[in-house]
Amino acid sequence: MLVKTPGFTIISILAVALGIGASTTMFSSINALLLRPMPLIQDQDRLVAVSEFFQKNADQNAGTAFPDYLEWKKSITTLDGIAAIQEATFIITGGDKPERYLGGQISADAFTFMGVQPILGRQFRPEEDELNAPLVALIGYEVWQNHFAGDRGVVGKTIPINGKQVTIIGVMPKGWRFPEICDIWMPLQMNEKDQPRGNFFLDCIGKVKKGVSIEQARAELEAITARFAVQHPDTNTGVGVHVTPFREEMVRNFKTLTLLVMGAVLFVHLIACANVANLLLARGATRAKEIGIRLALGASRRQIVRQLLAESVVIGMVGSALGLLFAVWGVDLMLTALPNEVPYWIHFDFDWRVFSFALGIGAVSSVLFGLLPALQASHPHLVDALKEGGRTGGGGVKGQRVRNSLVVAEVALALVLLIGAGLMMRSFMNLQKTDIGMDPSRTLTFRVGLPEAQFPEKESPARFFDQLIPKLASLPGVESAGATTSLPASGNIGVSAFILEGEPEPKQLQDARTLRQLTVTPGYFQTARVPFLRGRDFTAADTKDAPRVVVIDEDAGRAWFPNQDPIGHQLRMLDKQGEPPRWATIVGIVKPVIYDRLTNRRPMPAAYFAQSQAAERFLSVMVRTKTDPAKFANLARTTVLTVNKDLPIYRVMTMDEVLAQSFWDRRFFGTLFTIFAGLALFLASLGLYGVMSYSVRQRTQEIGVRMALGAQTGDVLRLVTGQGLRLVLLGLAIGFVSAYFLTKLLAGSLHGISAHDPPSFALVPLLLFVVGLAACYLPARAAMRLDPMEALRYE
Amino acid sequence: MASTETINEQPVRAPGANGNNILIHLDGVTKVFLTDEVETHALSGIHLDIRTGEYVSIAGPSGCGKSTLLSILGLLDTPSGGSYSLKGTEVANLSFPERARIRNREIGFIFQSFNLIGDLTVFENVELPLTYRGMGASDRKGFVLEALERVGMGHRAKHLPSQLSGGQQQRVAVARALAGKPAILLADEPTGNLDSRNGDAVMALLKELHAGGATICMVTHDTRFAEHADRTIHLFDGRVVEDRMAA
Ligand SMILES: Nc1ncnc2c1ncn2[C@@H]1O[C@H](COP(=O)(O)OP(=O)(O)O)[C@@H](O)[C@H]1O
Ligand SMILES: [Mg+2]
Repeated sequence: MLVKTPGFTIISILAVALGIGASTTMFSSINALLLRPMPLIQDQDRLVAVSEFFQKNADQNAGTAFPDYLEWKKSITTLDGIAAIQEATFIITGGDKPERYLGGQISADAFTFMGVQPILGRQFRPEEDELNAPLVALIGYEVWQNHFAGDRGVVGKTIPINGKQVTIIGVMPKGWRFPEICDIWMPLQMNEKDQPRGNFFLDCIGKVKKGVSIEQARAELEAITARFAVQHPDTNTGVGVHVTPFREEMVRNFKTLTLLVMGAVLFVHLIACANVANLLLARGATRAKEIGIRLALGASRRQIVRQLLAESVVIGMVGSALGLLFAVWGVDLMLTALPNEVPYWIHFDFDWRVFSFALGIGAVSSVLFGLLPALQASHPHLVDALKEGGRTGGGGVKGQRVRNSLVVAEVALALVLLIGAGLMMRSFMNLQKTDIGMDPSRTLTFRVGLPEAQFPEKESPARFFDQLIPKLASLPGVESAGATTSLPASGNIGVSAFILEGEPEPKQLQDARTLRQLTVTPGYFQTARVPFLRGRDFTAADTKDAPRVVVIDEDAGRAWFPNQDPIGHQLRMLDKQGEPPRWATIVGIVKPVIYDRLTNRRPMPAAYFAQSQAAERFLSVMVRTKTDPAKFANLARTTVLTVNKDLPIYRVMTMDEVLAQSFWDRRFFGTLFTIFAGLALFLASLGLYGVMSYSVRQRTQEIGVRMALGAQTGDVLRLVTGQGLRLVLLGLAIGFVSAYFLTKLLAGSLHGISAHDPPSFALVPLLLFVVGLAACYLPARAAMRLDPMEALRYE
Repeated sequence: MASTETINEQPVRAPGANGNNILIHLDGVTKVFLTDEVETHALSGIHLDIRTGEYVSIAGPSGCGKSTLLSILGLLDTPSGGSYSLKGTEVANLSFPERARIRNREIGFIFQSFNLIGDLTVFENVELPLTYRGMGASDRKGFVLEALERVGMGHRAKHLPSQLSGGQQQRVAVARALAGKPAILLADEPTGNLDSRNGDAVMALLKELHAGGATICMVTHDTRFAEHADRTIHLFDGRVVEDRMAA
């Protein structure tokens, strides 16, 4: 039967394959993010992420202070181990040119309790965590292959990392880049003097002992952490500890959106199934007579249902296979849209879970779209079906009603998805046109810095940038250059505590005033085109020995000096303990710039210090060019090397790219959602078209009669489109109400619009209405063009 | 459109219905069907006049072109050649909307298989041609009830066709044909799907309508019913081979 009606078969299989393809594509990301075990790590369901947090801001992890980590490690009994890691730039010199890697300083026992062994050489030893232990490193497989050409003699070799001689003790297995994209690891080697309490910055990972629950481990860590607050009230009051399953912590930012898109995709698949069910229903109606004869000849209803179901199972299975193929393309397409380097443990390739999903959803769908039509077809009114010309009024009415309901459901589902897509795209456009307070056009940025070990002199960073910036600015094609600790919209910025003149130091850190602290070079404001509202920029006169000056932004001025001129007032940062207090005088006020990621904003006043007075080792350089900024990357690299031959540049991006990265996930998920909503729209209009065409075929004779009675083409058009639009309007009404409730799920991911954004809720139904009208118009036009003679004769 | 308006301004049943008032004039009408390269000459030169108030029956063997002739008369189909004037106006080659308009106002169809619309009640079925005429709802109601009364189905207005017997359905179909007060009723084997008792009743109804002044053209191969008519035309192979007035 499937072979005898190839058109029907092809359309059904394609619809199912599209649905399964889209679902499987999304499922493979669910699999990658949530289900598939991380490679190499043993007993990973016992791993927990541990981080301190401020009760004032409980939904955000603060990071962990080094001394707090040490005490956990000393007294914890419910964990097999707890490790701390801090990502850092590792520069390997000694070759033709310096190479920069993202590395991790990690507790020496971390890989041991995770059960990950080097493939060459040995693991860190516990004593290598000690401050003065000989320097050792584990390298990643990629580094081993690329930097050392896979030389097995690399173990025991000594190489300069960040200017110090480090012995390579081992090579980690292929694919290991813990925690996300690190390539080299060195032991933590920290001390409390450099990393005092109150400085929350470490990521911690623990492994719960066998037989111990996460709740028990959490309780113990909470008890220990509560003691800190008693012993060290100045730094640890209001500081708690979060203990989360490690995997959950890693996917926190994406889980909701991924699940939402998965939901969207299942909607799309439901629409596809509804279409196939409708096709089967329509075909069942045309086969009523055949089935009637079979029943009359004594076939049981079960036999008929089984035969009909077997057909839908074939459609479902072939659809699964083709859907898997679509999913392969879908995943490829999705990967090209992922801008960032993906953490090592996320793998989108298909494993048995993905295959089972595709097969399973194919099987479930077969029953979903096959059962109803099979039951209906196996239950025809025997007498009607066998009667010559057995279509007297009532016969097809029930079938028509089921088909209509399916189309109404399709329209409703499509509307929900389209409104969702509308909201996400409008939110994305809001992000895109956010005024971040600087001009991102024609600017190249890159990161460069001087590791302390390699350049121990305190003066080196200031000197280096003093030389570099004018050199860059004077390059042909470059308008200006400057540097900053944090790039706008990058989110690479912390929160710092300070006091204003005349205020006492707060007793507890959590009560302190906070600001975004930046260090910039002369030329930064000019290059970023951040206008001065009052006062002045930094000048060459603001030397290390000159009085300390600071530039604040307008928000700061308004918040701290509501009724006075801030210029001339003083503030002091509270970060450097042990150093003599250094007051800085406000000399200028600039327009505010957004440094947070646009999707995660915590507005806070900002204060800029001069690189010459508060030198930072690592800065992001910004170069404004006269032409395409991307073309200046090599020139920038060689210019840096002429200033210091051992300094690589990295994270080379135009400012536009930095911005795009700032909300890439919203663009990514928004685009996915829109693609799926478009697919839903297509499938729903196809369904509407199918049902209307079928109905026109069913009503051909009726239309002939109406024409014989004098119906004009306009009357026929109204008859058919009216019938279709009733379905569309009903679907729109149901979809509208559902969307009103379902879009609340999106609320947390929207920017600048509410989940009930009126334009989306008004325009999207209109769009669907117009598309629905078009889908009805084609069958209506076919009806209009019927020859009344032929139509009357139609059987 | 002026021509159609003159048609409409004429009273449905002209005074002196049995006079020389020619309603339909066919002159050398031919119809050729082309299917799969095969030409079928369904009608080969039909000359025919039908006067207002006449009751004409068309007879002939199956396939001789009776239905084809009736659909041309009813403007469902256009002739391949020749001329057709209705109420003195040439209608052989009108546009689709104009033909629809004339069908609606001047022609009442009665089909062999009743062709009532299953989703619509009896009342709504009968109302249909009036709706297409753009008549107001209250006028329509009067026309519909009058037509239903004339066929004796006034008490079934709210029923669905599936709730009626074949004979009752065909009477509703007659009412639908009548409702718009057309110039002529065209019936293609109206008793073909009915048992003899119901068939007789429908024929009696047509006779009664004729007696009331209606112009009727009916296809039938039942000689018994052909007797009801004033005039019987015999077709054979697309030609009129006999045209006989009843005694
Ligand atoms: N639409 C058509 N296409 C091709 N041939 C047709 C068509 N309608 C009728 N014919 C042919 O024209 C001839 C007359 O048909 P018809 O008028 O239906 O005969 P009857 O006298 O039985 O009503 C037949 O040979 C029939 O096959
Ligand atoms: Mg016939």
